Amino acid sequence: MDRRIENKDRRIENMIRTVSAGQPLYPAMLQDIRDHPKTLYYIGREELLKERCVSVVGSRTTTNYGRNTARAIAGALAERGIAVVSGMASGIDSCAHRGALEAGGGTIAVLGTGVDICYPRENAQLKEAIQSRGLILSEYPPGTPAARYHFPQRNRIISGMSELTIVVQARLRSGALITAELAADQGRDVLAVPGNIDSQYNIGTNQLIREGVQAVTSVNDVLEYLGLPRAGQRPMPSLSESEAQIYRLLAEGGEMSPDELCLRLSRQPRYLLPILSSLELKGIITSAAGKFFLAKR
Amino acid sequence: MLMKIQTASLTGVEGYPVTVETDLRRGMPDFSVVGLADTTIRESCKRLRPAIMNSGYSFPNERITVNLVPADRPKEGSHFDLPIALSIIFLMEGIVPPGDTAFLGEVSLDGTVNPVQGALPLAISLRAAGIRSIILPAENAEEAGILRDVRILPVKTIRQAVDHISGSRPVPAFRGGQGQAPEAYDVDYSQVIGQESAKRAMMIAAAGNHGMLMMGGPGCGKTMLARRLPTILPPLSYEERLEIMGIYSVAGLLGPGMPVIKGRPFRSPHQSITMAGLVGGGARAKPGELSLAHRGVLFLDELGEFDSRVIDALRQPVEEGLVRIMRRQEEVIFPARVMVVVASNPCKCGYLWDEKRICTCTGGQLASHRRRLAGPFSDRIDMHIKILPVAEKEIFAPGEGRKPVSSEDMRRQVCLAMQRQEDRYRGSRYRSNGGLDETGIRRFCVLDEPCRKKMKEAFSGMDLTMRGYHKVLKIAMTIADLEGKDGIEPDHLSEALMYRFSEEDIGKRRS
Repeated sequence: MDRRIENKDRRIENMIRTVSAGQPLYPAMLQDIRDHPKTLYYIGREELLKERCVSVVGSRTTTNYGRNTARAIAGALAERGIAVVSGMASGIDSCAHRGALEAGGGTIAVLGTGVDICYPRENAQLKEAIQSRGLILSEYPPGTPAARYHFPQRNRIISGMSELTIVVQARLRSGALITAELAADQGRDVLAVPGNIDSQYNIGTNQLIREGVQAVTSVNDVLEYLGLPRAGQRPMPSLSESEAQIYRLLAEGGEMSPDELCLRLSRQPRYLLPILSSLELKGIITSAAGKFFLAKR
Repeated sequence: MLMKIQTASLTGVEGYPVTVETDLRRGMPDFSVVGLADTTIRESCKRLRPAIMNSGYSFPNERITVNLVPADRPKEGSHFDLPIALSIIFLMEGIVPPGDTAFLGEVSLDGTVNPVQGALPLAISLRAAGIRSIILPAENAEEAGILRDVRILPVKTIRQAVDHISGSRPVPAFRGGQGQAPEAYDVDYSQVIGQESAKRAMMIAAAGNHGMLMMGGPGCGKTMLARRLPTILPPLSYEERLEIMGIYSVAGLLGPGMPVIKGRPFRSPHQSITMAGLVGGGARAKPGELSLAHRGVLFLDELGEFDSRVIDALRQPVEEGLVRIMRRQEEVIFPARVMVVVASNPCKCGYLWDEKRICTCTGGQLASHRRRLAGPFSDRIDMHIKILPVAEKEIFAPGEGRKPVSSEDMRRQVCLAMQRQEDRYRGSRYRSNGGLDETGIRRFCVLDEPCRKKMKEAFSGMDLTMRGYHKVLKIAMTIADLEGKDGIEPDHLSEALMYRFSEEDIGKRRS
């Protein structure tokens, strides 16, 4: 048992590389900020250090809306060759990484611990995936455990590497707001995704918008802002009459429960449930917490 | 001088006839009871002497031996008082009781007859043994009155019983109790506003006898939905009502407040319940909540708050439909054919699914909540459904263009689906779709080519496990039965696939 842990440690140790300020591989944008780290430790595809970077950040506690938006934005960016930077925290950060990886693009996780440590632990699988298909980055030497004050510190790297920081969903006192502030101080652009004003999950982002940060009204807004080609209209999958009806309702109304859909269509659940299920199986809609919404593809 | 009269005794909820043999003989005055009688019965020696004398009869100054036949089965209960007392009086007065009359009852020192527990199952066993008339305490007449072909003769005092047998003043037979009253519930599904898809799920669960796990935030109507489940199960048959009332009688729950059972039981035990309280047991084996829910619904609210060992003890009894308790010399069996419904919040604080309020659970708390719901018992629950709060619109404009489905409509459909299952499973060891095991699923839930294709997609797209796959087939079979179809169709599978939780629903992937 002991030997296995040792072996694993050595395996990770062997993968860790370093880059110092001033070396050609050191991210150029990061070099511009005043308190840039002297040394960066990293695991993964080093060519991502030279890519255009956009950070997608947000709270750890989230709603479906936040999670799906983070995924969609990160996916659209990654598809166009932008490296999506985030902090690998649970919630929005993890969704951003997943979105980028699912789109087959690159993503950079900037950690507040050593690069050999997985925090939070439940993200072990995600970290493996980022190690092999993206980049794990930290200013802390390997073996550094998580500490409270590391995380706001590393946020300056997230915003510093990126030409643009997008805050997807933030509560009132979220670390993502610190990142947004840092980005502004560093002279970088910030966008925020507006949310339901009744919901506590969106107070932080809505406040940013009130203070003058530009709002993201669609994924295309982000692409346009960066001068990237807009998403083309995807061909609608062939749907039956009743499937198309439900598709349109969800496209208009956002997320809905089966009961709401029944009410709108004046239909019985026995008619609606099989259709919802087959739409879900086709990947056109998804569900969470009992509600259905269009899958972001 | 020897006297034999009939009474009965109980093992669990099953009665068996017992003959009380009483012998009076010259010798040192003594009173002994033999035949594996428990303390209550042996104490009757002390009670009966004053009771008989206060009733105005003389007590023999002789050697009294009472034997309870069969002598090798343990007997308990205070209902042996009356038969023993009467046998002594009959001997003294020279009365010969008719052979087709039996006696039950506890006596007080003043000669009044007190009610007993288990009067109904005792009476049922006597009826089966060919007894035509039963003399029992007046307070028990209502419950025993549900028996149709036995004369129930309620008495209040020992003297009344003696006068009846001697013929000097016959007791009128008990007639027209509430036992014959039609089934009635004070709740109905039409009282539930919205939640139409949840009602649909309840109907499927009821029709196929599938266990059900409801998840939803606080106050969204889980208990309300569960409480109405008995109203859509098929009407109680006479035999079923006898079974249920027998259990309640043994548990001592029938009395002046509730003399008869009006409908299928709904039991909702508290989270603090012990193993003996839930499955039954104790020093004098009593039916637990599980048996009290026999032929009805056992509802466990906040499943995560129950002791997990108590919950897992439910697994085997629920699968077998009965509880076995080993006691001193015999096995006591309580029936337990229940429909199990459990409810839980999506997380510890309850707001995981709430878009407006913040869920304050940590990752560790979510994981522990999930573990609590994933025991061997809950793993075997077929249907997992999500209950959402009713939309404001439906609360304030109810019935706009639609009438809420009523229990009567739902019950009609459930009955038809059950009829189809009965026809299909006749001659096999299965009774309902919910009770199918792997062999049964392979034999009865046959998939045609389009269905197989659908399940193949589902298997890869929804990461189903083998057990999950079987659950879907069983539910689909019930949906087919509800729709009046002979085989499973792709649409039935599609709907069945809705009754499960994704990892996101239980907070496994908050990100």
